[in-house]
Amino acid sequence: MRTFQEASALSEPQGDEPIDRFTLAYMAGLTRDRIHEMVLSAFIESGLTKAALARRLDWDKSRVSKVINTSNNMTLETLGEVMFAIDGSCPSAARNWPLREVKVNLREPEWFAECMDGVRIRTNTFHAGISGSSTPTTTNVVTMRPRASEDA
Amino acid sequence: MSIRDAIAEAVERRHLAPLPHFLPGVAPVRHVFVTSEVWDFVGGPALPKELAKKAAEGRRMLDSFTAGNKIVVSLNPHDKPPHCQLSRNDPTEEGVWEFRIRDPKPQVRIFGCFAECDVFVALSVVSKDDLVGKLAYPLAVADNSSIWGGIFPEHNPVTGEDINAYISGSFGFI
Repeated sequence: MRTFQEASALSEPQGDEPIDRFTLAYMAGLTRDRIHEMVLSAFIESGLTKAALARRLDWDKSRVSKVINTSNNMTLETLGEVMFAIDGSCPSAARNWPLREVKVNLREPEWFAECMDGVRIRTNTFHAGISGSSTPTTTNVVTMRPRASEDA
Repeated sequence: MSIRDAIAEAVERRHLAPLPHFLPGVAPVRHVFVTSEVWDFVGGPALPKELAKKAAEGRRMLDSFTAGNKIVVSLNPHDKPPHCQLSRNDPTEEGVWEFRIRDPKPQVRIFGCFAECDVFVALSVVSKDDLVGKLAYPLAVADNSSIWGGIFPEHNPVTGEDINAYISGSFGFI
């Protein structure tokens, strides 16, 4: 029987242990996503067309489309140009610690809770992070509980 | 039996699993259920190095959907923005969609169907290199329709031309 068990728990870096490539790539992509969300929101709120933005930047429309439509790996300089061209804004950098956030209730909405009845969420205590915090949190390890017939 | 009951039964029978967000603090706005094939691809770090980045991109894209982020969607399989993230496939009446993981190359597609608005069932993972030729996509759609039919013999996926039947809230439909 195939299972749906996650390979390992996600945790903040500790000591000099190498971080797996999946996690590094995920976090890099997440950063791109956040930047893209900001650019796309600003673009939609501005009411500009892609053609108008292309004219402001003196770019090809295809280049504008790529920036607007995807969480692409644009340079910081390009980001500064695009945001100013959209609405005169200048992005500022902030950071947070997503693994320290309290695990959300996955049992909503109600019908989804029924689906989750066969799933056991295992909680873990997280080790001290790079800032030295030891705030307990949880990880998103999910294992499938054996069916009743297999329990017997 | 409603489609929700059918999903719950498929989870109970381990044909599907709900895919939680990779990060613990993100409240799901939409929902993704995956087959074991998709889970093996996006389920976590135990992958060979050459697949890890591609898989992380796939997981990030599904998580972005789950988190309710704006995504670029196309209903038209033949006229979509080149960097569209979620696209419907031909024949459209089958209701088979793909998440398009364009980087790193070679590209990967995660095929699946909408069980209802904001509930995506990811059925299979295919390298774009294997989707060559006129018949490649119709065959992939047929394969995924068959997988869907095996899991949900009494229910069809969402079809139709109204984008709001598939995704609610914030999405980029550009």
